[in-house]
Amino acid sequence: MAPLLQVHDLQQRFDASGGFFDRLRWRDGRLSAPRRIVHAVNGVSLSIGRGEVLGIVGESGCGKSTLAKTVIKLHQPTGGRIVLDGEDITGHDFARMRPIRSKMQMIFQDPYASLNPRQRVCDIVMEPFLENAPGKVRDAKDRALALLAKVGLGPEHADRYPHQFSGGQRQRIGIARALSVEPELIIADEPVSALDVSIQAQILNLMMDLKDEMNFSYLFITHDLSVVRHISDRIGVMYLGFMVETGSTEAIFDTPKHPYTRALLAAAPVLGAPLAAAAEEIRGEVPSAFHLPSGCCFRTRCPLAFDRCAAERPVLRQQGDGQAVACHLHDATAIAPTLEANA
Amino acid sequence: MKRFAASELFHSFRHNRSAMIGAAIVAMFVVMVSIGPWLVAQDPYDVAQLELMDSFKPPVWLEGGVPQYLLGTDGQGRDVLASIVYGSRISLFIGFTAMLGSCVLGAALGLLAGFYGGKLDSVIMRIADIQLSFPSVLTALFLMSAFGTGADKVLIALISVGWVVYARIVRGSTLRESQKEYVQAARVSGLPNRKIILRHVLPNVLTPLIVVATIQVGTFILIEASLSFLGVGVPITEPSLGLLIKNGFDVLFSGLWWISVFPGLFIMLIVFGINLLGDFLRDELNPRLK
Amino acid sequence: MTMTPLPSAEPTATPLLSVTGLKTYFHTFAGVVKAVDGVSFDLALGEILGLVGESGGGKSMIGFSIMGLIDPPGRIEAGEIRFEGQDLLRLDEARMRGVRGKRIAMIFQDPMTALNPLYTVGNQLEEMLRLHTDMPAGQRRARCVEMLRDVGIPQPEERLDSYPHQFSGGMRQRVVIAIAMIAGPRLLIADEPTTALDVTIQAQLLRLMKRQVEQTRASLILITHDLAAVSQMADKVVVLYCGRIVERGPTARLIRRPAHHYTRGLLDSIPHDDRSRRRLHQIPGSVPNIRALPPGCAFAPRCSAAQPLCREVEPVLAEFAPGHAAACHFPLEAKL
Repeated sequence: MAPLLQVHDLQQRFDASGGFFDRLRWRDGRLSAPRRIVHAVNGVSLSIGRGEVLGIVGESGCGKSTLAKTVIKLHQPTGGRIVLDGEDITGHDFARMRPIRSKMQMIFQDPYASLNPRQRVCDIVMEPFLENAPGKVRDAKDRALALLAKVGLGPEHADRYPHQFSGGQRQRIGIARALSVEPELIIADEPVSALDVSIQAQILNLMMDLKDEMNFSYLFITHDLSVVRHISDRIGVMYLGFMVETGSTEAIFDTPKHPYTRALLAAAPVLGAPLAAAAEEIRGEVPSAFHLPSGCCFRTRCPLAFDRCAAERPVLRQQGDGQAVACHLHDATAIAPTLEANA
Repeated sequence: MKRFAASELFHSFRHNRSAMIGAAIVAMFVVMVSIGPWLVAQDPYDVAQLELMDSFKPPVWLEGGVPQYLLGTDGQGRDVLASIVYGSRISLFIGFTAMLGSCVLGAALGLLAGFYGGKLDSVIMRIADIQLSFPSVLTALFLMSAFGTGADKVLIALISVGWVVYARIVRGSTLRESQKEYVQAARVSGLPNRKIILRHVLPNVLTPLIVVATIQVGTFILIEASLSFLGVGVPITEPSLGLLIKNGFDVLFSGLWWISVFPGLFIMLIVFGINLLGDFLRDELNPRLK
Repeated sequence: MTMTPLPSAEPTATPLLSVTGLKTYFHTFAGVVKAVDGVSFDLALGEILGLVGESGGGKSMIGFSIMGLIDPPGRIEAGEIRFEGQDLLRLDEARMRGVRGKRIAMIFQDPMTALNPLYTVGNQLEEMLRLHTDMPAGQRRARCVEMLRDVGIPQPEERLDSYPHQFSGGMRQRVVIAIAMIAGPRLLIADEPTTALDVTIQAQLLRLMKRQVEQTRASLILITHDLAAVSQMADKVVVLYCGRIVERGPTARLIRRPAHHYTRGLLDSIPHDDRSRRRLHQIPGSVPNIRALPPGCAFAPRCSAAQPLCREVEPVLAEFAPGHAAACHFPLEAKL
């Protein structure tokens, strides 16, 4: 069976240069107006099966949120293809996206900003449904109550406004809104990172229970390794707009192959464990997305980088058992000189 | 109404003396312009009611004053108090209507500019810049020379300048609100832009306008007064407070001060009251000062 | 040299900082918010203390109270903050200014707003030296360079003349740490110092802070919601719920054998390595409205072990092992 969502070589660039007069520069004795291009997503491919949870993990600025928003067509992609349920939606305009909206919904990061403060809860949760329903629906209120019950809110909550709720409850409202059209894919962009630990657990449990009950798929974006480990079937690790490693959750955590994945795992604080030794830490900071490094995106911080890393951009290569990594060290066709030496 | 009485805004209002004074002044004016004409003895613009014999009577507490004319009379024997009551109506009407017009026009243009951005944004905001560098007196002069005097021309002159501030504020808030996730959620829900603007953006950009709108009524009353004083404002048949000052100005230095000074004091009072109220709202509705 | 008899007690017997019965209340329109409600703890020189709790726990307000930075409608109602032998709450603003920055420094969550965008990093470092030390002007620059190098900023001589916006988030937080540490404070209060930063940067900064504190023999109060980070940094931990201490104790012991059901719940709700357990342990409900706390134990409505007693009588913080105390009528430890 074909996967529910297939994304192929997706690219997303933004022009951050502003108006013409903002761009004007006097350089080398000439007047020029260069553009500043943010390379947010650089050729990402992924697929999600029905009922599957794909977790995308990475640090801020790695393009994971942009990836999510491009897949759901909040941004028009600058390159690549998005295929949902066998239908290529890459070039769909507003009208043609409308039927797609009931197949794919989104849960947002900020429980305070993601609900319109001037709308009542029952109107919020029913908005996607009413917008996509053919004609007026008379039992809208009943549906809203049923939805709220599903996410653990009572009928007394329906007529209140968002500011009367706590962060966790607001996130429940956001989830109910996404569920109102019974989507097949839910894109969750850092849905728990703004919540307290104890509430985080409630929301994660709720999201997994709903998935088991309604059998949809998640594209789950997060920076939190323990969360992504808990919730995902498969994981993609992103860095600077590139997918550097993909694989099953077990593979990523048990046998991480990309140097970045390893550094990321080493840096995450673990309860009761001592602070990671300085040797495992990656130095420096993420390069600017305005000027991507040549070759491998991670070479500027990679302790194992060698000549080829600057010369050639590595592509994701299958390593068997479904794990794939974009690193010259794991290119079986060439000689990887330093792997053993540094291991 | 019950909800408002229990709200935090009302609570701090009750504990803010200058806000209460401002509200009292504004309320007094509202009462004055709504039922005032039935309280004063004379309609100063009904020539039949004027007694030329009673011209240039001083206020009642001065020598020669008569109780019939509390604040004295002008050269045609018009009661100054009655003129002020009728003049306030026109001043407040112009201030308020011009504010409403500016608000609607400015908010609409600001929403469009902020939401769609790009060329539309550039065009609207450049027009706004040009408008700002164009004094309302000049606009009024231009309109007057082309179409003659009238309250409607004054309104157009005021609105053509007044909308800019709303457009700028609304554009800024719209840019900010459009970035918020609830607007993105509305897009994901498949709402057309028209519905997103009206249902989601508009209700969330209005609050800061209340402050500007309040203070602007005062500003407009002042500008209208200046225009009328300069003779490019309302026609003599519908005199505002500003025109009353001008009428009295000709005889001001002959010791007949009351004809100008009392309308001037009333302008000062209403603008003062409006500004007190506006300052209070600014402090209360500005989340950054909270 | 005079021969003064040594005091009988070792200097370590008097802690560097001793907070007793601190109550910081906010008087708002909707009622009194007891942000900090009777909090007591000690901190010895060279020790790292983790203040842990969820939002609304009052952990940040403890930091602000120590710094004397509580503004109306907030007010410190009662308590004592004894630092180096003097009660900070009795100092006037002028003398408090001599303590703030010089003896006690603070690092905030957001490195973007903690630095003044209009001055170079060098200006802001030197300002601290000028205000809080009598270092001659000629030596200050060298000291600033040294400090920047210490916190791991490459090319410190050149970076001294950079403005804050020319640094990345992680580097900016390093600068903030440098500014906090340059006057040689005895106590550093770090309020969620790494929350806004990425995991890889977070690890670097935590290590940096630990090293700075160890090198200068200062003490550190780490205020955070991140139990894992605290477990790696702190010598002892104070867990707060609704402005009250629910448990405090040595880090390793408290993590391994939590006594309070809230601490236990917090620890269990962190997603675990063990993927076989599909559902996370969750604390039901949400933090109660702090303006109207329930009588008795504030955690009782969410506690699985709550008894009628818990809803009536507020438990007091009782020590049951050296340094390990919990405010619970039915502590987990008792069952062991």
